[in-house]
Amino acid sequence: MSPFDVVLALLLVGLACRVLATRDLFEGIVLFIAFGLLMALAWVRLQAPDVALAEAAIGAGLTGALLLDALRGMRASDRQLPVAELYSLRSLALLIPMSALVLFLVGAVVRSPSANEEASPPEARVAGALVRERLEESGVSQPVTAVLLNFRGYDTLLEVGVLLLALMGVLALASVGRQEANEARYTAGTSSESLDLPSRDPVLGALARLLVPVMLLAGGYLLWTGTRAPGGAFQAGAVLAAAGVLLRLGGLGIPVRLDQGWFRALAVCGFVLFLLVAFGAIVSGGAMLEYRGKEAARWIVLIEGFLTVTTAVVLAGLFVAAARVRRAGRFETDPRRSVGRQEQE
Amino acid sequence: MATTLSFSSSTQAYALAGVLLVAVGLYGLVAREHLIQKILAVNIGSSGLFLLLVALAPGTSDPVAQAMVLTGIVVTVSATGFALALARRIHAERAEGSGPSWEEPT
Repeated sequence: MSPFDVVLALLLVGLACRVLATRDLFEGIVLFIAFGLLMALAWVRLQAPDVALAEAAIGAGLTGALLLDALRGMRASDRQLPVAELYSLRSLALLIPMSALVLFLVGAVVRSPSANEEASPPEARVAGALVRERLEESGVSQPVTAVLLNFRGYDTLLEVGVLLLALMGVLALASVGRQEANEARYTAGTSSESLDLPSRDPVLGALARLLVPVMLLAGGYLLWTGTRAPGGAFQAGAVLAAAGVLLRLGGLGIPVRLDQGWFRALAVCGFVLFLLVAFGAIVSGGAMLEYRGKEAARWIVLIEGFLTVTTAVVLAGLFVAAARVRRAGRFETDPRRSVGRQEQE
Repeated sequence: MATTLSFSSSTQAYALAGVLLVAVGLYGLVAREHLIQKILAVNIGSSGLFLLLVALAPGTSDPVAQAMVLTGIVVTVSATGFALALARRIHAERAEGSGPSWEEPT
């Protein structure tokens, strides 16, 4: 066991404790982002570069942006916690069942087959070895992509469904749609808060101009390389979504109306195509999501392309829509929108 | 029951860190009142679970475990996004009251 791994593992646990022990929530979230970056490093050490990329882009990057943006929308008094709340008797009593759980799990880790090399099962019985053995049938040469889009395609299909469900949930809370647009028409001009582009930070704007082209390139590269090397639709989509979030924070974003058809079409396109391919396989006489060899490679590349778009639009959409969550009954007003409407009429 | 404590592989360091992270996450989820902290706790706990999954997978770099964790990370960010939207709504609804808005209004 190299000392680097021990230090990294200890740092992860220490940081996690600090994240939840701090009184200042802003500090907690920044520490959480640092935690996510260290997690990415841990994935590299565990020889999981695909997961490392996803963790850095999604776990640290986008989750951090979502958290910070949510905190910004709260009252200043809600961002600090009283000390008494941190160390109440009730939370100390919880330590007993938690230590029991830790002891149990540590026992499981120490006795697990992967810890005792001589007791490990023969390679052929392990799922990972099976994947490597039959990699050629999947149509791609990268084992993780082969599992995601061929051997365990169901999981990925449903995962995209979960992404869409989350977006639908946030959109429902954000009260976007016809009712809100009608309301905005009547109350236009009464509110000066611009909700579409929340900040126009010049530093972020300059940063966005520098970084977004590089991020677009990185996203495209991750998609292109995903069938052969670490990368793929979700990492690429996450990087593109991050580019969108950065543009928005820098005041350069496209003013998105979340009830616009093209936004929703882009959000569902990956899921719809995936479903069509899944059931198309049944129509052509196979099982659901059954494709092999050369034909499989074509479908996987096509699905990955559309999934990148869906991932990017949904993740960026979560960020944009969350900023519009308001109290019930108070509809947002956007002067520019109603100006556009009057011009149409 | 004479299992020797073999700390030979460095993946075990991460597996043990994963165990502690799961515990810290669960503890935070129950013990912390503020919704943002609960959401942070869930994220930490799920990170621990992912570490455990990959570190305990047999052999080095098991693609099945890694693909599961990738899926898990995307599902976690979806759930976090939705939970944060709910938290915003709750805070907005309670912002009118005088007390801290993460507590039930009395």
